[in-house]
Amino acid sequence: MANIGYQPVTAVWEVTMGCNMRCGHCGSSCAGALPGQLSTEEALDLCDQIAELGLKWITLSGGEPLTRKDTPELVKRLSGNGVLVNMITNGWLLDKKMAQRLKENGISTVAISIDGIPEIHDKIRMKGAFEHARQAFDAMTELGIHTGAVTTITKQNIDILPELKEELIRMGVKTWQVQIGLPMGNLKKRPDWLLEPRQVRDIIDFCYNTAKEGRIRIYPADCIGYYTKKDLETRRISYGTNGYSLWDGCNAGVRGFGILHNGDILGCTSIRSKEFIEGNIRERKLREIWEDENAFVWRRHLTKDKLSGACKKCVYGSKCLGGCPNTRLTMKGSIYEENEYCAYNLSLKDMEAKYSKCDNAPALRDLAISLIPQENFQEASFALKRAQELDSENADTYRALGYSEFMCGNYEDCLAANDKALELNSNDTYSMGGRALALYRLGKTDEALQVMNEAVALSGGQDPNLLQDLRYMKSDIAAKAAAAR
Amino acid sequence: MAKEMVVLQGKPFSVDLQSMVSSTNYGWCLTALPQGIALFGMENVPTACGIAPVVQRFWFGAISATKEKVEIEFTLVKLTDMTPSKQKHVVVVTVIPSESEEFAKFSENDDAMVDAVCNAAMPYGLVLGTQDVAFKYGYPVDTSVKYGYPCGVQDATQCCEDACASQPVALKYGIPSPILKYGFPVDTGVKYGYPCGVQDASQCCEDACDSQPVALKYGIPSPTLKYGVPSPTLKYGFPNRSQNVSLIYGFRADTKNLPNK
Repeated sequence: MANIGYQPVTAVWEVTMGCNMRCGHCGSSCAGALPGQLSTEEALDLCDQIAELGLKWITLSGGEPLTRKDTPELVKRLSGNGVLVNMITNGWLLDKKMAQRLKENGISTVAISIDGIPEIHDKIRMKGAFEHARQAFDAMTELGIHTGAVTTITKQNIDILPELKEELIRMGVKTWQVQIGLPMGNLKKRPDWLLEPRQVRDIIDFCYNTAKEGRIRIYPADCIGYYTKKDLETRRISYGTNGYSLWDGCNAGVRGFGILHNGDILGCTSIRSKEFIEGNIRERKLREIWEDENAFVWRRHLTKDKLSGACKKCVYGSKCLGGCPNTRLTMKGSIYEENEYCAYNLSLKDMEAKYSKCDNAPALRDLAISLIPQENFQEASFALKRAQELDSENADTYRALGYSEFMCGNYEDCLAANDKALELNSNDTYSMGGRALALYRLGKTDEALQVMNEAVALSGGQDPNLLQDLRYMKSDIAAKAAAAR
Repeated sequence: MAKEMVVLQGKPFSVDLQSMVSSTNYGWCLTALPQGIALFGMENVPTACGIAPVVQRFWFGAISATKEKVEIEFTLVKLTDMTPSKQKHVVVVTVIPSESEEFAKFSENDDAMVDAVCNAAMPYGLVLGTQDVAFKYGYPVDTSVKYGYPCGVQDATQCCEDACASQPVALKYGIPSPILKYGFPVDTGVKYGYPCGVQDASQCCEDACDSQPVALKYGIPSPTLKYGVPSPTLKYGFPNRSQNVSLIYGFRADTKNLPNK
């Protein structure tokens, strides 16, 4: 059955695994072209399928895409089909002649990987790499091709980002994406290059300050975040928008996908082990794979409750679904693990440590009850949980905890807190209402209605909040039933 | 009796005071503000009980941490001729340092936010030919849809008025219209507005609440038709903070009732 719930907008296509460099951080350990690479004919057919599927733009990557001789031809076919084509290259083969050819074939943007000032870049990649990249930038700038730089941040270059920024600005680079180097491919063999989780804050600060300067547009990649005002402001500035918006989780299998050199289709080219391969275009059409309801299940069916650690209890959990799954996979071994490279995750750890040192339950309760109206639900929960540890028989603590956990989307915890509050005061209609709503959110509709009705009856029908919430549940049930019909 | 609050330095907070300003023109005014606390503005929020009372929400920012408790004083004033009444309300505030970074506020149970937030199936990226292309290492991006949710950041200084003007979420974080400052006046947009919902029964004016039990007696009426009750959205809230126009499960907290009889 066709899955029409998702419309892909973009894809990353590793057209070859062949590469003319041997970068220390290469996530794919690229060297020579691997067997099974799509032929020109197969690749051109895929270009048509990509357009037919409705993609708006695509990024050709590798390996080094220009080591594949027919890459300009693919650019021409894609752009001719109305798909914007971008390319990520190391720039070594991108001389004036190639730049001219790409332009004639309709390339939209070329991004060159730059990992540091000349000495560091050449050390990570190969001697002369930076100079070749500089010449490639010059060639493209001369021809009016949009260019960008992409930097993979490791301990090798995090300290020289300010210098690199100046170098890029001097070269006339207008846009710059930065991303975290993750332990895969060659970088897996170099654990000493890997960033510490707390260095994510330094990256966000750097991005924010760079964005505020306004001299180069900087784009933190999707593995960097989440939801700090600084990273939101950075994106707002770089995208040139007026308002803020919250990252909506990984695009893999939802709004985008990856294509490997051999035609394998997967959610993300970085998450490439066998279980994540959804099909191969030699066996099935691209649309068929995309619309397969059994494909991309790991992402399409991912919910907060499947996550673990702090992500499972995080107020943003249902929104970001743990952030970049590849970060979790490579750093922690599973896409369901918590994301320790999330700025909010770091903040949660700090909160936990802070409140574990407090030993004044009433003060913690007062703080929490002030934090809740400020919509700081997660911190309120930390304070209340600690208050509960210190004084396990205070009903007010459980009442407030029930609510803060509800607002964090932690319904089991909300239920437990309200149950405890009701143990202490069985006539507490407020906690009954909270309990009912937690049950409702957990899918226990009948029980939820029963509890809410009991609460309404116990309040003598005089509590408009309970009445409204009861109406809410019934209306919601009716709406869902109507939608199901 | 004074109400106590503990707030985090650098973060906004609000005080809600209930009044009958809509009908009597008696409203709460800020009459004393300590050093280190800034007033961001005020808004009038409709309550559940029909035309009145109204929640006057004052937005503050804790600019600096305080060693001692400080007091914010409000006085109920007859706005017609600015005559103060004897009724005062004092909020005692302790500002503690905030160690955490600032994050955008979010709750999946805040309907106003959720309504504004795109879902996972939301289109992502470029709409050809509809915008000036912004490049993300070569990806042209439709900035209006990529992250989907405008105005999620509740920072008065950062939020763009234009973009936020139509977003209910933006109001939470206090970019009030200047004409509302110090709470005078009546938000005519809400004056005759909303039946039903925000307060707990004990705080609600009797007349307006007369209609409530009816809803129970006759089961669950069609929420959009009967008695003008708006579509019933979840309300589990910390009472009467009206933290969310639609979600009540609430905490009885910082709204002070003005006797209206």
